Amino acid sequence: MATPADPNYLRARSGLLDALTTLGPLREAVVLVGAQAIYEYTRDHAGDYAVSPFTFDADLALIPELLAEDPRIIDAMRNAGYSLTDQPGIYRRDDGVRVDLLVPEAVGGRVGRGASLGVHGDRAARQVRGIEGALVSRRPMNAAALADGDERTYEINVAGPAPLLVAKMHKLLDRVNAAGHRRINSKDAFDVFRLLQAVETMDLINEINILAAAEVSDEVTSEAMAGFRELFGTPTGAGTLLVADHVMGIEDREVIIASSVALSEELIEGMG
Amino acid sequence: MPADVPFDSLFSIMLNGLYSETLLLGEVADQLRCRLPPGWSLERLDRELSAGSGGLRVDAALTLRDPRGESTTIIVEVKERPLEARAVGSLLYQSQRLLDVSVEVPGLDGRRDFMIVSPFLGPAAKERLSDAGISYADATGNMRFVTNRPAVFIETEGAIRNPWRENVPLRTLQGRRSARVVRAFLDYRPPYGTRELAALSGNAPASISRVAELLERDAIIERASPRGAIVAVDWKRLLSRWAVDYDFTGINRMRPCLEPRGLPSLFQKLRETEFTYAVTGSFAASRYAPLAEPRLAIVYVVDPADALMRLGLRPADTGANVLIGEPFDPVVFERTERDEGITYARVTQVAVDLMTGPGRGPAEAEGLIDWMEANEEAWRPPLTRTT
Repeated sequence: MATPADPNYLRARSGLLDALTTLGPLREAVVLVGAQAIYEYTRDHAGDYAVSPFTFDADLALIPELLAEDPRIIDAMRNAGYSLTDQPGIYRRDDGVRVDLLVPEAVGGRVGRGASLGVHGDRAARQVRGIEGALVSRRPMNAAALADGDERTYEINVAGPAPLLVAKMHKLLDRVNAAGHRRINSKDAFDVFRLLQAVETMDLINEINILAAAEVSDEVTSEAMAGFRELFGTPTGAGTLLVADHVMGIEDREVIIASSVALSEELIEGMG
Repeated sequence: MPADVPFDSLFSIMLNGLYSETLLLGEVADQLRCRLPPGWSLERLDRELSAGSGGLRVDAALTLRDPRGESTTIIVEVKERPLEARAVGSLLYQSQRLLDVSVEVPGLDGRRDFMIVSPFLGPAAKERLSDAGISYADATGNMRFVTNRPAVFIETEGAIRNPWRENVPLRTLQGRRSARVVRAFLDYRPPYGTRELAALSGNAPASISRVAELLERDAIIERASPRGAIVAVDWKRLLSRWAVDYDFTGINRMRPCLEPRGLPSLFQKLRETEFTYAVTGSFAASRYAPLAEPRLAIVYVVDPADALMRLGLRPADTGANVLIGEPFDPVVFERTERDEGITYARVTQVAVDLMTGPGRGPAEAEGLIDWMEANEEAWRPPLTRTT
């Protein structure tokens, strides 16, 4: 069974903490999103399934209006060992860890892949549609190292479960709508399932309603929820099947499908 | 009942509740014959076998011959009544005498083998016979027949329950009262007196005596003297004997449910709950004998509707991960075990539930029983020490 002692987790988490260290005062403008954020809410369940909760990536959303000018993002990342790839906002390190710096498209400031971040330039972070909820609902949490002997812990803003769900839905919808479905990663669907299992449905509904009421995130939220209904609302929905595929041969398929649909229905019915 | 033994014919050839020796032997020989490989023969030895010296008596004999002409004489001991397990000891002595070639049996020469034939052989008797290496066959199709030269091995399963039950004393552990007594015998280490055990386990002394009598016949319980203290209870064989009459899914009213947030969530809720419950099945067994990751939680509760609501479970026709329901008797809530905030049924109850339960239950029961054998001190206190 996968546990946080898995070297992949340790490396991914350590890579995140290295970046947070050198970003220094820029941390104010950083919100943890993606799989490592989902892990913060689902960690009590993380050991329930024999599949990794995350990979080598760390996804950090930046809030442009809170960004200090110093240090410069690309320099800070370089000090943690990361170099910017030819894609804006994608940083890699020799040990394989990848950090994505993302800016919600709604506040990206320009046309093109890179976000417009003033003194930091147009290539320091990438624009992404779907993570707007991180601007509206986030909470400070302590991100601690997972490796023995690594005592580092940073208070960091983590996107709430609802923005994480909405962002995952956008990622899934982009890929489901793309030709051939070939790029769909069942892990994205399973991350949705993990959130549904770990978070009380009423809490999730309340938070989704907050996102839907905020101008910056209402559109992406209603798109995500319409997609959620379609992908996860039935036993034969693409999302439901991806959840089951992700733990194929490990978990009882019928139980996983029934569980995923039961929790999805609860959410859909609660949203009205 | 095996298909090739018509049930009615068994009764038609019974004489005043007894099986005619000749008919029984003919019946069994026919069953045996049709299971032999092609080219083999099995014939009744017509020769009159006179009683040998030393009081040896031979009921009948069969000659078994393989296609190459190699043969052995099967000395057959025919019992007209169902054989009880405790009678196997004396039978073993008899077979050893008859098989001892230095003991002459007039009319017999060459290789000898031995078998016992009875109208019915129960699981306990079969187990004893097979442990003693004695071939056997009954009229319902229970058969274990082994010879070395010529070499043959035939084993078939017939009836588990005696079809002539009305002619023999009570032989069932079915029913709540019996189950409560069986649990007491399993849970406490002898010696103890009937009244003593009755008082502690909340059973009537008469119930204890009735069940004890039944188990004495199967040689599962031993008394110091005919009406004396119970000095030994073979718990392992008692479990197997109980499992013959017990049927987890049949007698407990369990309903399949789903905990969509996963079983760790269910256990967390059980930790916080205040109503009476007991976890049985794989989760209870895996604490002692982990086999595979348990997938199905089985929970006894007093009020299933209330429990479903409080635990947030939904009834599920497919994809259930929880079985929850009312037990056949509240004895499942007695002498429970508490472990990390969870109440588990007694290990003896868990064992019989698994033995007769769904899925991998029977395999998990084997692992659990191995653990119980190695750790009897841990789970089976003497009567004086209550848990």
